[in-house]
Amino acid sequence: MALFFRKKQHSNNANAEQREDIVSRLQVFLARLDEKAKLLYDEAKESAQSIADADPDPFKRSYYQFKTGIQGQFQALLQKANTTYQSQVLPKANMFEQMKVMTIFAAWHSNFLHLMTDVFEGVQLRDLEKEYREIMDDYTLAKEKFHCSQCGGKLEIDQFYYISTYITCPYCKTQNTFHPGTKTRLLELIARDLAEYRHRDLKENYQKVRREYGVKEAEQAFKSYMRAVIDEMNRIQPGMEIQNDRFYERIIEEYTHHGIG
Amino acid sequence: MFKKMFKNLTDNLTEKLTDNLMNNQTSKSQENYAEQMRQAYGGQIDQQKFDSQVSAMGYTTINSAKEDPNDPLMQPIHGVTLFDYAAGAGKMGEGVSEDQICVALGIERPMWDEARKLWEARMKEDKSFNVANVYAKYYGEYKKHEKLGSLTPLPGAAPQTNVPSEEIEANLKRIEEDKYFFFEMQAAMQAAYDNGIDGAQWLLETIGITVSQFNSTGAKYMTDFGLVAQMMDFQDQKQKEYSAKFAQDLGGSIADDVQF
Repeated sequence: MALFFRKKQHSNNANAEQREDIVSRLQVFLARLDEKAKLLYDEAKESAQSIADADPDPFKRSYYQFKTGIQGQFQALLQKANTTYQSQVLPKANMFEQMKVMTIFAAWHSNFLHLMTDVFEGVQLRDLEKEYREIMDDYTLAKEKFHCSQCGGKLEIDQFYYISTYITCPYCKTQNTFHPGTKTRLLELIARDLAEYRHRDLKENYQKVRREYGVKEAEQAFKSYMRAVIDEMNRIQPGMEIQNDRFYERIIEEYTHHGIG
Repeated sequence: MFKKMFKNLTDNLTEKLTDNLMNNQTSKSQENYAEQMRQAYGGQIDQQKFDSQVSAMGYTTINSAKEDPNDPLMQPIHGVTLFDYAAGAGKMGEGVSEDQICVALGIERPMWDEARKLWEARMKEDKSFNVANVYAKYYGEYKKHEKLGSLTPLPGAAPQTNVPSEEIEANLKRIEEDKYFFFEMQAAMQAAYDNGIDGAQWLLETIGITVSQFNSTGAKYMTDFGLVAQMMDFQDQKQKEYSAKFAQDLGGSIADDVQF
């Protein structure tokens, strides 16, 4: 009987040690993952801006490829942590230890997600004002080179065309087609982002009011911001005023009825 | 992948809806809509019922969207119909130039440019998403377009692949007929991106087709919520398998040498 009791006590001690080990093993394991994540974070943070700047593609595909690759690496670390936690940690911990490991894992998880979301924070994907200047230079060049295909007369263009347009020659009345440069056509890609960028102060104000007072109270601030953006888009891309106004109406309706903004 | 196509068209709607859902700033109609989506993805509602309930809220789905000839937003622009525009977009994704499209449609470039610009604007202003949904429907059928369907890119303009043309045809047919193959390729592309590989390029090099062809051919699967829900586990599993393979090809995953 005494022998049996001693054996049982020994076994209990061994289990306790193993359980204690689970908590500390989890901490060591998570610390190793943290180390990897921190290395990845530092490397990505250091190079993200230069990769974005060096990507000549108007859609920034190389940068996005880099970004999804880094996010995939973070996901691999996260998946390893989750799988290990679910299959090797939780099932082996008793109720008291479960509380401990749950707290440790929740805190780690939260920090990890913060790291993962923060890594690309602050990266300026594009210098919109610089791109706009380049587009306008490209346009000026195309405009200056534009002559009548029939009589060779210099054709004056008195407004901004970012798509192909018919221009009638004032000298021989031939209908010519003006093609803006390739770069000018890309204006459509940046028009809204540029307009929003130019009125970011109004956006910040709207977001502040919304955070502090709620959706309804922020409606006026949202309207001011969106109106400024739409007016700016009209200045950037003239000729779309009616369509842009309808778009404004849709945005405001979505805000009024659904709080989307 | 298909959803990305509409991001610019629907602007920030989806993003903001999610944001609001997360911040509990939902209105009753948003909650209803979200509930419909949850039920549909959970396979608890049939597609037809879902479509009619969404329609009752003033929105359309790809199945309920209609090209009403009396709808001012559906009128051709310089003779360019929404089908022409969708087919043109699909062809551009294959490497066909806008000038080729104009010739095939029998119009000049200024007309095409303006039509394209105005169709985009109509999609943005349409509160019911009817225009965007009809567009999506046509995008899924662009190869059937009478004038544009058979257009091929000019020499050198097509995305380059070493996959033989008969194999490409067979793969396109397989995507059309085999839902498992479609969802597997979708999973593989995502796994490629997760490992820093260009998924679109991988698809082109492996099965010889472009993302545009892939999305268009598989559009019919993505409009069936029940099917998407049914294939979710399969897709997840395939994504893990491909991710492990890509990681191994690249010398292993960052997490491989960390053991518990």
